[in-house]
Amino acid sequence: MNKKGANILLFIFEVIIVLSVIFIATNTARAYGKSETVTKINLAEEMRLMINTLAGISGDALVKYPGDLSSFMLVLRNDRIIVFSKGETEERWIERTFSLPAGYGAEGIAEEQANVCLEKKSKKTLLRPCP
Amino acid sequence: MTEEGIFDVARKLMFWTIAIFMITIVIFTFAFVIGGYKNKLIKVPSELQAELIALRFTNSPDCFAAEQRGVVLAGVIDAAKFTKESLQACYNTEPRERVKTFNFRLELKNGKMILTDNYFHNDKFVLQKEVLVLQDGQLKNDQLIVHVQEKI
Repeated sequence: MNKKGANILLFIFEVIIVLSVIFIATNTARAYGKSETVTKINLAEEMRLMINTLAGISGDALVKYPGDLSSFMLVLRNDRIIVFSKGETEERWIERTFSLPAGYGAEGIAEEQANVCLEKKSKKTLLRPCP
Repeated sequence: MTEEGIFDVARKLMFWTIAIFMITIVIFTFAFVIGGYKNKLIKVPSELQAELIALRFTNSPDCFAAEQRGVVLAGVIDAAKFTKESLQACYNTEPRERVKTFNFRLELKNGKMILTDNYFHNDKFVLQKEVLVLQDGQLKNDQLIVHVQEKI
C-alpha cells in the first residue's frame, strides 16, 4: 500500500469516528433528557401520592390534576396507575403501584384529556375527565 | 511505502486507539451524569410518600380511626381496631410488592405494637403523630410512632 492510499483510508476512518461520536452523544443526550419521559414518571408519582392521600381521608373528595394532560393516556386500576402516550409500546409505559385498604377500589381511564380529576366516592377512587 | 510513511500511519493508529478509548469513557460519563440528573428530577422524598400512606392509619375508619354514631373521628384511634388483622386489611404489601415497598411498625407509646407483613426491623426513618386513643369509652392522649422500612 502506498502512503497516499493509507492516508485516504485513515482520513475516512477519522471522519467515521467523529460522525459516530457526534451521533452517539446527541442520541444519548436526547434519550436521557427527553422531557416527556420525566413528565410521565412525575405524573404517575403524583397520581399515586394523590390516591394514597384520598385513601387516607374519610368522606368523599374531588381533586383536579393541576396541569394539562392532553398528551397522555392514564389508566387507573385497583393496584396501579399507568401513564403512556398514544401509540407507545408497552415497554415505554410508566406504571406505579399502590396498596388500598381492603374493600377499596380504583378505576378509570382518561384518554388525552386536558383536565383530569380523581374522585373519591365512598370506597371507590375514580379517574375521569373533570366535569 | 517509505519509512517516514509507515511511521506516519503507525502514529495515527496509535492516536486513534487512545482517542477511541477516551471517547468511550467520555460517552459513558456523559450518560451517567445525565442519568443522575434525570433521577434528581423524578425523585419524590420517601418521607412524603410514607407520610401520605400513613394518613390512613389515623384518619380512615377502615384502618384505626374511631367512629361514633357514623361520624369518623380523625386523629382518634380506636384501641379495639388497633390489631394486626386491621393493619393487614388497611395496608397489605403481600400480593405483589412485599419488601419492595414501604412497610411499617406502628407503636402506641402507651400501648401495643403491630407490624405489616413484610416488616423486618430495617427502619429508614420514623414518623410521629400526636393522637387520642379511645379505649373503654375514654379518650387518652398518646403518640403513634410509625417506624418506616423502605424498599429492601
